[in-house]
Amino acid sequence: MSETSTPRETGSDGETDSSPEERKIRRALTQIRREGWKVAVIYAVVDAALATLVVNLVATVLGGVPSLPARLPIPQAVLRALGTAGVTLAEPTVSSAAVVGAAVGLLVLVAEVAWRVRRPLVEQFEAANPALQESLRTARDAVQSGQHTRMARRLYEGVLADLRRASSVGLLDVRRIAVTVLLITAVSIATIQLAVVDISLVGTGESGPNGPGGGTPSEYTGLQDGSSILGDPEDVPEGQENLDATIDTSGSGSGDGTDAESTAGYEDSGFGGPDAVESQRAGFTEREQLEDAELIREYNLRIREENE
Amino acid sequence: MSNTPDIDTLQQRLELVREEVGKRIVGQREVLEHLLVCILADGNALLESNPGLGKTTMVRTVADVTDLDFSRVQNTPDLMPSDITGTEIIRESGGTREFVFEKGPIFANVVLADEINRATPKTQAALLEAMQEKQVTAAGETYDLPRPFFVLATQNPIDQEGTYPLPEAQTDRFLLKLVLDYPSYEEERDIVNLYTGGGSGSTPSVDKVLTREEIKRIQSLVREVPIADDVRDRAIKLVRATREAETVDFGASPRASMGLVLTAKARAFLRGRNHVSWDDVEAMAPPVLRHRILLDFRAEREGLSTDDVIATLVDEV
Repeated sequence: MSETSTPRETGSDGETDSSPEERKIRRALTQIRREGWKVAVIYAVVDAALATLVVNLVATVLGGVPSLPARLPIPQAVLRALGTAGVTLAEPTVSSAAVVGAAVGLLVLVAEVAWRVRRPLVEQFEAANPALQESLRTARDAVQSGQHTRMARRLYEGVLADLRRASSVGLLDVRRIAVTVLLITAVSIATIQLAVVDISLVGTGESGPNGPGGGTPSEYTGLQDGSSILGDPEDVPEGQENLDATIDTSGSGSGDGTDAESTAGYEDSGFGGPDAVESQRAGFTEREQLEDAELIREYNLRIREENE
Repeated sequence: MSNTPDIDTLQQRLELVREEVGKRIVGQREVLEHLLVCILADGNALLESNPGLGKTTMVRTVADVTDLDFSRVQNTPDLMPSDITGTEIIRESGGTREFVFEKGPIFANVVLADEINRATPKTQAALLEAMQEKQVTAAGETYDLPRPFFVLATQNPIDQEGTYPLPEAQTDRFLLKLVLDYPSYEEERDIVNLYTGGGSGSTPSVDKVLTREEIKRIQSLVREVPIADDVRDRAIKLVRATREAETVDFGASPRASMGLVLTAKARAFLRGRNHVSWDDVEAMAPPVLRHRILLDFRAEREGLSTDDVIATLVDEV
């Protein structure tokens, strides 16, 4: 009957001499805080994913990240780690836009989690469950001050019963999460589309196999600034030397060159060598490579004579 | 282990008390609630009303349904302190004479001190000292007053001629100041029907539903009702705000802070809750504070009452 209403001393862990109801309240509060962390991480992850994709998309559209090369080398340690894991990369580089996007995403993740947990998580839960707000707050304060009175125990029992009916879903704004996920999907599709059509507001920075970029199609280095490749516009100086120019003719054209000259010109055009003809330069596929162009030429001449 | 059924029973009994009192008192639910709060908080109340509003009936009914002794003191200017506290008389017994302390009307669980402002300051002081100390000293002997002990002092807001208004130090000793207002038309019609109809015409009978032992247990439980730190701090800020408000000449004392928190706990218990809500503090602020603050001339010039000022302060904190 005569139970004290004054707070009792508790141990450093707050569990010493506590009643079962108190311990349950403490566990419930721990669980509530854990749920709060989960919610904070969920918000941060979706926002970080969106930030990553948006930054990557914008950087790609703008032709890269200023003051950074189009592609950045992957550190050897990472490559080794990937190799150990059985992952082999086609190239040891990664797009700088993607790297910046990932960095911004990581920053958003950390900042948002920190921002969301700055307010006590239990208070956030209380705000999401107004019916529980006053009783839970009172129980929290009572547990903290170590109250073991009959009314405090009764309060703990009531709060625990209410908590069984409560939900932490209220902490999560499902509509906001859904909108963010939709945005992520849209930006992802836009990113894929951009990669396919290769749109650039500034320029691709690639002008063919031997273009200013110096790379091959497989070595695409991202969009580049055309002015930085071609240099500033300047006046072309008038030439001082006079050079003779000779234009070779090829095939059986009606030029006035001799057969020998024609043959030489034909050979110079790339068809006279003994080596295999490059399909790309000859305009033929490799399977249709000609073994002896001279033979074909001879057949052509004979056919003409017969026709005449 | 769990005391929940016991506490539930007590809270149900309090609800029964309300129902039983409701058989005799029509309306005035808020005043009745505050009266019960005052009893549960082990305090005393100052009741201000015009004559004929049923304050005596209300207090007597509360005493009837709670198994408490009731006494009434009609204060007049010629009332002596010993008329209230008691006095020593010579009693002959078996051929011998001895001084015997004859207990005054204050030795009851519920004391209705009617029109306390008509008693002289000396008698007022004796009554209030007994009320505060819960004991009476006469001829060197100390006598404890019965527990629970509850004084309801009334005063008339009109016809102040020839009265001795209670000084602030005395009014501060009352936990609550309750103000009875006139009933509505419907309530007054019900009152007339209740007391003028029927067979005998006497007051309706009520059952005793709460013992004095149970009241003492409730008084003990009320102090155990947990209150959140922020609600308690806000209650204290509210009391402190009365000392800083521009329209208030003299603010409430720390005793008011204690009274506000305690009555809020009692109200929460009375309403079957296990914790104090801000609503409890808000509801108890006017009766706890209205007799503890003095408004300055600016408030009076603007026609503000103490309740208006308190309501403003409640909104501000």
